[in-house]
Amino acid sequence: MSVADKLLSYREFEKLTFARPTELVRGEIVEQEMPYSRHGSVCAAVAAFLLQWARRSRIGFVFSNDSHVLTERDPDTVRGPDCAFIRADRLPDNQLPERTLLVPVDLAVEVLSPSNRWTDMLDKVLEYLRSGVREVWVVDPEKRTLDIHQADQSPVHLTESDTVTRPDLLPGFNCPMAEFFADIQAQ
Amino acid sequence: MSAAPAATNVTESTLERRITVEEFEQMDFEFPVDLVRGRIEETPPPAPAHGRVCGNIYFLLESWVRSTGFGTVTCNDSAIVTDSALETVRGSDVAFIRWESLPDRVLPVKAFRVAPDLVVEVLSPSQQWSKVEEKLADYLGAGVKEVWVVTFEERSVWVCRADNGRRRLDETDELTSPELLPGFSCRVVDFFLHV
Repeated sequence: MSVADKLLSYREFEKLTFARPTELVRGEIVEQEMPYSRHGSVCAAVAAFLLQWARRSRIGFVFSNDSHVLTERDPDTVRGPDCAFIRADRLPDNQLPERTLLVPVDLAVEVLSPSNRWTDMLDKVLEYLRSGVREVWVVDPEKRTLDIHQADQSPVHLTESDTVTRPDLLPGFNCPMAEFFADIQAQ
Repeated sequence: MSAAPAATNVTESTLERRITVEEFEQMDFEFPVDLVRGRIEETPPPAPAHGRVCGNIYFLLESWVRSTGFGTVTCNDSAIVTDSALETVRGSDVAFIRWESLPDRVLPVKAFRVAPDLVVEVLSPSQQWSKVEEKLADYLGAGVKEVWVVTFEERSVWVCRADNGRRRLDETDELTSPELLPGFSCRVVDFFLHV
């Protein structure tokens, strides 16, 4: 039987290799768009600022580059957030797993691409929150905005002149929003 | 000059600077437009299915309002000033406001200066994330208690409130809002009748 005929588990998904980035969505393989440079620049900047903070605070780990994160079981969904942060004390042995991360992250960051529809992104945001992710950031490189989503709360909408601080989730983190977009264009 | 709005009395000088809410109210346009942060944003005339869905929603809310007398329902891009300091006026597909929220219990001659209780937005197929989020932030920030965002392809309604997370309802789900619309109830599929 070919893989297309049945729903895949995250373990089966781990064994496959793909030429393009993919996600496993309720057991089915979904190809992702290859991102453009603005998208990549914003991902890198967000990851850089989070990583800088995480190393200083020693609270947990930051990772990027569409790393496998399990969000649903039976059928399984594996998402690849653009960037994520997880507290070390949530992880068995205080270390990142070799393969799929089975514990919900504390923060997932998604950077929008021109093709993203509002509903699709919001579905993804709610899926992360249902899986136990505490906070989801949606960053728009074009409008230079950040929407911060938490379960059962109206999202917070930030614009370029705002500063991102999350005292509960990321104690001590402080980043002017403009920094996320500073590498798109020469200053 | 780029992207001149289809207005009959807009001069080049008004386009080069931010337009105030009061100036906006004096202008005439051939297309529906919003005023967003002092700039005019055109919306092309919607597809018939969009108009049909707005009509269905208006009919359902209007039927409830006529039997309860709780307030009044508007449609057809009725203008709402969401922030006059930010020079922003949004045209709402459908809106409901309780009589007691309205000064003198009468609809204003010009744009709403008080926030309606409910605003319904039927999304266009492009549904650009930032545009939808900016609009939602404007409405909820202005005091609108609930916004229903309706999408065609999924036939879904997203219930967005200032005091809660987002909730997605699909075709067979029942849509109620006991606090805001006591006694109102319909199915999401009712919004898509005769589309």
